[in-house]
Amino acid sequence: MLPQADLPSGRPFHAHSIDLLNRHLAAAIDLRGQIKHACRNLRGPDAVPAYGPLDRAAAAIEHYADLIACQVVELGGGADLTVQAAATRSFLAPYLLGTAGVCQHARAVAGALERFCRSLRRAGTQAADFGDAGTAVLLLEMAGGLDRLAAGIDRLTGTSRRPPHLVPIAPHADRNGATADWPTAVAFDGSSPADDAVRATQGWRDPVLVRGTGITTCAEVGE
Amino acid sequence: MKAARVLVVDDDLMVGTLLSDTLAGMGHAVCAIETNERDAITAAMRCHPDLMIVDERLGQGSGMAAVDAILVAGPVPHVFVSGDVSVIRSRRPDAVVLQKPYRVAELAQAIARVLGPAPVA
Repeated sequence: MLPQADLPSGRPFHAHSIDLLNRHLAAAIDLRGQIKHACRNLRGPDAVPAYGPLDRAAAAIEHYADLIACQVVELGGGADLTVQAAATRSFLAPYLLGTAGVCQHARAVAGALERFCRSLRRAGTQAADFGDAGTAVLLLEMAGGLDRLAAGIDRLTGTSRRPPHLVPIAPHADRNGATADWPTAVAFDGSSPADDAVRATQGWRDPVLVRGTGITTCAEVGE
Repeated sequence: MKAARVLVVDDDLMVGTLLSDTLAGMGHAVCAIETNERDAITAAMRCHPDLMIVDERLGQGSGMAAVDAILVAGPVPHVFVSGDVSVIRSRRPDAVVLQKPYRVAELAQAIARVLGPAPVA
């Protein structure tokens, strides 16, 4: 953990947390809109079972956005809750408006959830590194909650949720072309002696968990 | 109210460690961070906490079972944390339960409910 005064930029850790939180607030607002868009455009006999998991995910994301905004304000920042701000700052890929069919919608949502969840974990690790434990716990617990919700959506896509596997995945560029400089995930399933070595080398910090997404799956990278 | 000696039980060690930092920032002292039911019970016997923050869902065992075993030796104020509080509320209507994810302010309120006002850090 860095002493607060020794942050590279010389800014107090609250400023870093506020940046991280506002970035994820924008993505949360974007993601909630994407999921509601999917919900309202479901058609056909498969729509009814799909609606519940998607609607629950949208409600959870809306709640998380409120929590993130509260945290920003508590840290002394301004929470950017407008759709205009979210549209410019969200790191999620734009939702394809021509998406049709329950499975396509579910896959699109699963991919966006996956990316948001992965970013929450990395942001939580960053917040911990610069000494903001409260923000770190909040972000990491959100990621855990989204994992549970994502499992319901994965079932819609037919993507079975395997034990958490870590696969090397390069950072994605966001819609503005920027890439995150966060740590790369490592192969890990938490059950082998080699994984104990991973734990040991990482000290108390668990590696970043990356699930199969249906877009970049463990099978596609040779797992 | 003086600072409490706290036992943290969470199967995610990173979250448990960060939670202990947060509690230290509130003026409390964390005596142990445990990740499963058995170790939580052992730690409680060893460090006699004044307060326990317990994740209900553990990889090995359950938070509620750990608390039940610890309370056999005597009352210890405790706060449950869970992603699904309905399970705990249905079984323990009087328990103080914090829905995950939570903010520091909500954690402080939950602790105040079981201990009284927070100490000055």
